Amino acid sequence: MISVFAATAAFGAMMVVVALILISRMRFSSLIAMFRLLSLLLAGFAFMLGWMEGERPLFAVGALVLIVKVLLIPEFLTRIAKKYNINLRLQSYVRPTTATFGGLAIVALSFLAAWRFIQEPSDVVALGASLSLVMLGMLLLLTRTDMFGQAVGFLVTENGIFLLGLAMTGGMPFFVEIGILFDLCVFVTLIILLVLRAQAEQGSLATEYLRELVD
Amino acid sequence: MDPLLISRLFLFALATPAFAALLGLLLRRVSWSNTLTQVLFALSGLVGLGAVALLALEMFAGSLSSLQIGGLGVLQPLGVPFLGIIYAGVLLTSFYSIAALAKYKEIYVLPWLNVASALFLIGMQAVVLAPSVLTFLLAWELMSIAAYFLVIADRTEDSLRAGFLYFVMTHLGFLALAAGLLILSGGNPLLSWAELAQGAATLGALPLSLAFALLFAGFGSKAGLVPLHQWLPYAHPQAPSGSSALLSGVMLKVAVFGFLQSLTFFPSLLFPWMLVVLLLGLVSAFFGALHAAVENDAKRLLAWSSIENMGLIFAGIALYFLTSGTAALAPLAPLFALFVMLHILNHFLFKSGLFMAAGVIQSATHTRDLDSLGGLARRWPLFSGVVLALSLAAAALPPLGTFFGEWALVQALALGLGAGDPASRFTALLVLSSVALVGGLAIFAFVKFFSLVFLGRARTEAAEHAGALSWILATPVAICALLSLGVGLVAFPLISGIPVGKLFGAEVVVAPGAGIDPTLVALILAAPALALWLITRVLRTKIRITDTWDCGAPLTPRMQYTSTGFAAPIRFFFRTLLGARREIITTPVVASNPWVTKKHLDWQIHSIWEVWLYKPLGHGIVRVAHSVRRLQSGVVQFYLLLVLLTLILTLFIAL
Amino acid sequence: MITALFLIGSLSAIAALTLPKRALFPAVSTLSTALFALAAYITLPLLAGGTLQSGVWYLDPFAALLLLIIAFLQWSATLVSVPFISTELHEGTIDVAHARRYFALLSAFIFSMMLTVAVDNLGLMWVALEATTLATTLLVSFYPRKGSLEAAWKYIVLCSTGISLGLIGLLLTYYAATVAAPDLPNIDWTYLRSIASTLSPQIMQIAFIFVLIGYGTKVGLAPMHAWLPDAHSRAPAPISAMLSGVLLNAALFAILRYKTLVDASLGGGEWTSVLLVFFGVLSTLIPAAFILVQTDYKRLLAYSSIEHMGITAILFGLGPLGAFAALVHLTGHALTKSMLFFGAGNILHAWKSTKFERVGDVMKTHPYTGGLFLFGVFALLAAPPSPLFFSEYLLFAGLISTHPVAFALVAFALLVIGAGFMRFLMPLLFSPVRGGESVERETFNISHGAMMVHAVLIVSFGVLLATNAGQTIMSAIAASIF
Repeated sequence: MISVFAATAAFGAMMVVVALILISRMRFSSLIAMFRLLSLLLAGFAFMLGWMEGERPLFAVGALVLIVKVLLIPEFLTRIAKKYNINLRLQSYVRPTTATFGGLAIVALSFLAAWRFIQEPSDVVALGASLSLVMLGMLLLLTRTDMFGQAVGFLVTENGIFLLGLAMTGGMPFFVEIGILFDLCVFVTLIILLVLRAQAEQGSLATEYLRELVD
Repeated sequence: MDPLLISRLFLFALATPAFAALLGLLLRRVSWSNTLTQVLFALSGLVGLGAVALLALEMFAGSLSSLQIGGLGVLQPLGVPFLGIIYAGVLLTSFYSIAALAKYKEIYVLPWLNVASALFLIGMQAVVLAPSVLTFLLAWELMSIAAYFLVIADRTEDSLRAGFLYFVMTHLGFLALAAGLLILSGGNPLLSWAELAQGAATLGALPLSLAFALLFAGFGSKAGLVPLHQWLPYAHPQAPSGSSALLSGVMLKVAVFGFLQSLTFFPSLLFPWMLVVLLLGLVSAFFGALHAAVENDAKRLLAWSSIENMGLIFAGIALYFLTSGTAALAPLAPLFALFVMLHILNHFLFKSGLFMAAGVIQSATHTRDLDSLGGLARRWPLFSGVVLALSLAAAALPPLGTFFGEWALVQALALGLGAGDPASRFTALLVLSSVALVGGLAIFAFVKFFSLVFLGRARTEAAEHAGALSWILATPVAICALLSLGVGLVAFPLISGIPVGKLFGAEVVVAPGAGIDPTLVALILAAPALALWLITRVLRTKIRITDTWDCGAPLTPRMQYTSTGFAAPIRFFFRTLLGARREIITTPVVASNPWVTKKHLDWQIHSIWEVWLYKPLGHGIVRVAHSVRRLQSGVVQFYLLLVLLTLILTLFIAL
Repeated sequence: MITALFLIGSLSAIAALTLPKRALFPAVSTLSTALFALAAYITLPLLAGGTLQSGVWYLDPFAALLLLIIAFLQWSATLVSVPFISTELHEGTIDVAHARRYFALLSAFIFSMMLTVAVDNLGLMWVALEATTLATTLLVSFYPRKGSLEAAWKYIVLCSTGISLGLIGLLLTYYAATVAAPDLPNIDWTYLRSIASTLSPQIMQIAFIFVLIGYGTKVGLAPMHAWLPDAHSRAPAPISAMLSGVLLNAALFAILRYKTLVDASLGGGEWTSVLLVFFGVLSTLIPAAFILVQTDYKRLLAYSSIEHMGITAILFGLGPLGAFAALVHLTGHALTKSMLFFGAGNILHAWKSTKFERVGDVMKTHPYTGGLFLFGVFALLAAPPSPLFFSEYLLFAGLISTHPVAFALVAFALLVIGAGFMRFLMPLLFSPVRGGESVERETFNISHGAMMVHAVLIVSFGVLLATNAGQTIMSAIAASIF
């Protein structure tokens, strides 16, 4: 059968690829779609890990990830965007191609860093993939200049951390996972509230309007 | 005398101001609340003074070497005279403030001002009594911050600005003191003085030097030594007059006490450092006297004079330590010690008296500007005699006490010209010339002060119609003058017999015959005056009243000397050091006639320390602050970048 | 018993949302008082050195102290919020729904903060800490004014990102635990502490750095502090008081939980101490620049909070005496800063502006607020008998022998900050503002009562430290070192 290492490598690689595609998406719908895919892969990884290691809670975790990150959050975001006529063209400091190249560099560096710190090969892939996801999420946070872009950046980072947790330790204690996901839901709710307010106040979600508070 | 009783008296003196201020706060609607508070302050001063006298008797009789004060600490011999000065100052200024503050009820919020005064008084006493590093710093900070409130008491913009500079400098001084003391203690925050001295003996040369520099900077900044002195001329005039008297007369002495006490912690005193102290003392004395000579504001003049006198005191301390170490010069050391102690006492007396007098003048004429005063001797003949005595004391002229202190100094320096190796002789020469220069400038300054305020005619309406003088305001001033005279008459012979060096931790006695007989001096001065008076009486010469020669144009008071005019020669000679700048703008009255013009003169002098040190430093720091401000750019992505970079850098560096 | 605390907390939120308007203020005040009383009852016995462990809860003296501070501050903040919110209702700045939301969010905020310090499980602590960010975001964006959206956005993005980095640290810790004890993986702190010496030092070091930087963003350590001046100055004053006074402390508490583990794993505290001192020193230097050239008094207070968190961080890196001083500083700062924010709230209501150029002569028209504010400023500047004098003195003592350069930097920073405070706050209180409209005189209300209580506590605490009790504790700790 497939070893844990192979599964981790496979899912990790797939997630990194999807994330790399994600960072170059400039339209809201494609960004959300890529995020859904990313989260689906994460849920799938959880299921696979649960099946292979025989850990029941992991199934529940996978299910939760599925419900929250694949269904609820993206749906919520899309509905709100449609209902309030939010501009679906996203903005960034860098062009999509530059972002992709930057992302590739980040992925390479992350794997290098992982290799420097960890000796075991299975852990290297796990750490490398999760670190890449986290860094790619940070890239989104740093380069996207609209509120949705930044929010998705944060969500991608969270996915990376989730992957790290699953791959390295087989997930956290169950109630902690629930707590994390609950926090995430509240986070998205708050983001949406702030987005709606920005839309009402400024008419746009561009962060260049959020630069008044200087010293 | 029972030591326990004496210690209880000290505790009473320490606690009463707090009680007085609280009472004043609770009874603030009552009209006599301020009087009550001041009377209680005076009572605490009186009790404290009594305790000091009793203790001094015990100590010099040899039966006590130190006094345990309740749970608060141990009083060493060094602290006794300083406590005496504190209590005497409290007694005099509180008595003065009964009437003085009442006149300013609208300007000062009296109940709270008295709270600040009480904390100030308690702080000063606690500084002298403090037995450990922590309590010392606690008391010092309490004293300093209470003094801040005294400076900003009238809440005008000038006061707030003066208070700001004072606060920054006192904070800097506190940090320096804390650093110096903690270096000596090796980082242990809870040592007592004895333990500190023990531990300091084990430190190396570099930490000791650093600690000394920091302590000197801290105490020097509070005492008003150059270059950390700039707050003093701004801050002292702003406080209420009674408080100014305490600030100049007493707080500066507490700083000297702190410095002397900290010197006892050093196992051996570094010779070069004492030279630095000497140099800075003389430079401060010079700048103080110079600015006093050219200053137009009465109180600011007195503040600069305080800087001058503190400089001399520190120079004296340095000379004591420089000479006591060398065998050839050791006999000179007691004279320097004598000078220091006498000058501390004398300066307290004449400076407090002068500040209170300036307060009296200000409350009657509503101005501090020398150019607006004049002719007060006609209205207040006795008071002007009192202020004359105090001015002579400030100028160090006989028969007042200051002269005898400085006589000891000059004697010692003159003896130093003929003893020791060439280097020390040359130093003695330099110091002697500096002291002479400072003395000359001081005389100039106080002649100006006295004559412009009291002699001649009033220069403005305000001075013309100065109010009546209340005896209660004048009495403390008169007491100061009388004491100053008294010190002159008795101090020298009295102190010559006392082991002065005991206060400095050494056993030295003033050599007899190195002194001067004050009664003889007084007689020499008094005899001609008496003779003249007798002659005029006997010959019954008439006084003729007539017009004085006026060149045909009527004389007005405005044609008298002004402060600016009087100080012109000094200002001219030292124009570079005063940063003097003159600008004359000439505009013709009628465009077609260039010969009839209107002239506008703009004269400025600065403290060069302010122009070349304080302002550039301040502006530089503000400029740096403005560039750091750019970190808060408003761009959230930049903030995130900072977080990420910090993470990555820390991971690389710390691992 | 501790669970009861949280029941009261939830009750508070429900009450805020459901009760009729007339019952809102009394209900909220009563529940808040009950919360404080219960918390005091639970925590006071523990301060002397006991611990309480039951179920998910764990309180050692440090956690108990923090819980007590949280409980006290929520009590005074709630009591101050009542007149604060009612003034705003009266003036029409907000409506009743807004007011309900305020108290509900406040309850959620307090709930999550208490959760952070009272749980044993590090994962739940993470959840609680993130929950505090979420609960307060809408409080930061409470007013419909222009800057509050921006402040809230930066707050939620930066703090959540930071806390996520902390989650990575938590995961690494968990990983180290599974490596060290594969059969009983558990992220209860008490358990981890017992096996801490067996945890891999390298992994724990990496974990600590993630936690320090991540949670440090929430504490407001420089250079991760940029969200703090915006958030703390835009929030309503009682909320700013709680944010500055306790939330920063709670996040620091979380970092310190990890510090204990890492120190045990490494076999000594030097490595973590150097990191804490470094970030602490940076956190005192950078705000100094901003305070010196400030234009807004709420931002000035916010930058001051960053500075004091920096000092507290340094103190925790200075051994046992430093830890004692840190607790003193923490408590003193919480009491003082909250008092200042309450005063700032009053000033804002009267002058309608937070800029120095628009506000002046506060003492004349607002003697109570002005006088108490003046007291608070000097207490914050470590004038005796403020407890901050003692903690800063111990800071100097600790730094001068171990990190003299750090001492010089911190001393310089403190000097600049003192100058900045005096430069702006004294004219605020005493000088009239040019071309300003007159403001009506204030009347004594609960906010002044609360501020007075704070002032009395500050002075009592300081006097306690100066007298025998404090001296005995300090000498005992010092004796163990020297």
